[in-house]
Amino acid sequence: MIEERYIELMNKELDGVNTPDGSAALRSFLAASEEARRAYDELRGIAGIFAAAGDVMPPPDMKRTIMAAVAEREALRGARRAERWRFLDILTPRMKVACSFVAGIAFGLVALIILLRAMPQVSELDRKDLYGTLAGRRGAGDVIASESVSIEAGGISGRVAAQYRDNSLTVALDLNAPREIEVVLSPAGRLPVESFAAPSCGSYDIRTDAGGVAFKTASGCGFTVIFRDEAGAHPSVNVTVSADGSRIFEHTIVKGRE
Amino acid sequence: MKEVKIDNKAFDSIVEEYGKAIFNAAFRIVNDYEDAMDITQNTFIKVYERLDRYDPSHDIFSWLYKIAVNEAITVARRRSRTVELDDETCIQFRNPETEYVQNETSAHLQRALMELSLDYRTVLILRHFHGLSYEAISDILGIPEKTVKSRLFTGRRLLRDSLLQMGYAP
Repeated sequence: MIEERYIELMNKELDGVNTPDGSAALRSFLAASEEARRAYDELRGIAGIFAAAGDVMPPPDMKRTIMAAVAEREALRGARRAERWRFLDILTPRMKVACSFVAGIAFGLVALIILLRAMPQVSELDRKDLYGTLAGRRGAGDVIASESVSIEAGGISGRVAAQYRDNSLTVALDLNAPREIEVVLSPAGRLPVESFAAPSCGSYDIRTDAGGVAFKTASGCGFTVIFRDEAGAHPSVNVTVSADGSRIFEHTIVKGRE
Repeated sequence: MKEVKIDNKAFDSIVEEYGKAIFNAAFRIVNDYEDAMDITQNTFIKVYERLDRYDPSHDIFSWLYKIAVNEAITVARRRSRTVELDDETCIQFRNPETEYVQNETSAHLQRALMELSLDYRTVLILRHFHGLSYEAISDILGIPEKTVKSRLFTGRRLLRDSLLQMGYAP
């Protein structure tokens, strides 16, 4: 009985994949065992039979047959492709143009619907003042209280309005000014700024910090600021307007007082 | 149907170079001349259809063999029976008009191979007739190298037994 590991070594030797150590171990084993030598000779005999068997001769016209079969298959595929679009042949050129036009319209409609669905929802305030800005949904929601104050001072006129909502405070100004002005909005309680929009202003400069917003513009225009009021404190807002370095208007808007 | 002329030099040279080897592999697996021809033809049709998807970084030889051997195994399984080489079949091997097997050794070997299961037969054919490495056989058959070795070693033993039973000593 030959050990399995020597049978494996014999097979590997036959396949030419033995390691030098494996070959040496096999040689020693074969030298010591007649049974092993006989088994190894039989294995080599198997390999010899394969070598002696030779090739089976394919038909002499095999290549031509294959090329013809491939050509036939290719023709069949071509015919199927043509069949698939044959319905187009019954259409006149005008009908084809009409079909293309209708298909284009349908495609456009689908694309439009997809775009409309993908657009963010806008609030009433967004529609009025903040459309197309970074204004978030915080500007939406029911208005709890609205306060409005007129401004008439130093040749500047206009209005400032405050809207209190559940968790935001919106301050909108609309000013007519013949020269450069600076407006500072300072809510009590240091509310952070949620968003800002000045769609009717040309060039302007804005600075924000924890204390509020400072807005500078070359002439009057309308702008809106939304402050975040998470706690729903509804604080008062101090509004100052300065021109040429001098304060020409100051007022504190208080909910329920104006 | 419109006649189509295949004008693809790469494909033409593939058929030229590998046609005989593919036919031999198919014949040895299914042991039927006509089936072997059909398998060879189907293999090259598939090759032609997939030629644009062929990744040149892979060995074309393995790719062809993979298609051909899978075709052959499918045919052999569909027949779902071992082809019995009766006397008539043996005579066919010696018929000068259809002398596609070169010698008697080949006929004996083919008969012994057909005694083996498809798994052992395929591995032995790929290793001994086509000289493929364990790795290449593993890739073609989609089995681990360890299994290739195991089937090869056992297959040789079974083949030896089969040949001895036929009175054909290795």
